[in-house]
Amino acid sequence: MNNVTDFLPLSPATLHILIALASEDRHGYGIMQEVARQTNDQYKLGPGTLYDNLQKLLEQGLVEEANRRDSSDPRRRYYSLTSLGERVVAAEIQRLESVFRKVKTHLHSIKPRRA
Amino acid sequence: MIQMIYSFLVRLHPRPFRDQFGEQMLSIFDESRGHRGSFRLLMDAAMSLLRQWLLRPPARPVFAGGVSSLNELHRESNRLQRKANLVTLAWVLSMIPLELAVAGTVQPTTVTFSAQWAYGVMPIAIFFFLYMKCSVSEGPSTSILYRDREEQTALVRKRDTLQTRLERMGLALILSLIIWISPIIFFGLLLRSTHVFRNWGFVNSVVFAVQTLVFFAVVSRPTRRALSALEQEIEATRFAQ
Repeated sequence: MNNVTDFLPLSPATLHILIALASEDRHGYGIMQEVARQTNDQYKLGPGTLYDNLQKLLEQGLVEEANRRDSSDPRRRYYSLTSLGERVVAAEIQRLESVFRKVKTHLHSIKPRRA
Repeated sequence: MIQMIYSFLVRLHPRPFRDQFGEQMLSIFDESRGHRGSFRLLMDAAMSLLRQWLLRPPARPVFAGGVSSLNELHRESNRLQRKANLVTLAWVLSMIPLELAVAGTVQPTTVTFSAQWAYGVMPIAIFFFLYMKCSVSEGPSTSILYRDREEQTALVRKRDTLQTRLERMGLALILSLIIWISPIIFFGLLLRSTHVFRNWGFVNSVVFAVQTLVFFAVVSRPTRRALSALEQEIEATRFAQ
């Protein structure tokens, strides 16, 4: 799967993880915190869900393990977005934007009914 | 105590996942236990466990290339197919004593010999019928794609047979559920018999749950591994030609 569109649409968990990694390399707990911050605590990822999705993303080549290590907790591993991952996030955002545009146009075209 | 249960759940994950992420999951558990809620974390680990065993494909052996690797792959693929066949057959055979025991001990309100045997023997017959009917004869796609390649055609047929068996065993589970649930619906709901709900319904549910769990945890996995190896073998043979 080298074509970006083959990966689309992304599941909500996958999209949030990729967006969290778009700004900087993060470890698992950092990704969870960033996802919670981005969604105002409305979407909370558990470690099981996180690593289940990370495993899939690593296999697909959208995410890779970074060389950085955390001195406070050696168990932590850092993850970063690959260039393919960046292109997939960009394509997904573009796809969502076009969906929202269509929905907005549709909503505007509906005339309110008379009571 | 909660930490022990959590690390036990992590340890139950498939080995490749556990080796790669197990320590990291425990590290996050230590860090977020206070403000995330232990119960929520346990539920998350349990869901991840189910997803890993039931939904995620097993790790594929890596094909290195070359004739010796192709032979190794062929041997490994054959071994996995034999294992998958044996496990599935053992699962189908294990239903005979289980269902006969149910038919012999628990009775619907009619308490007729024929009803007992119908509910006990019919699912076994379905499983055996579907198991025996899984062999895939040469399909049109196979003959067009691999007209002059007997080896690949044979491999594709083996793969399709395994795939069909996996799907039909799932179908057999659904059919047996319908057979077992029908007396519960008839006697329990229409005739309002609490006796049926208490005995027949309970035991049927337990037997069905055990069979389904064993199917997903024990039977489907070796079959999916064999399927994955066969896919690789087909791929490798294509490259070799």
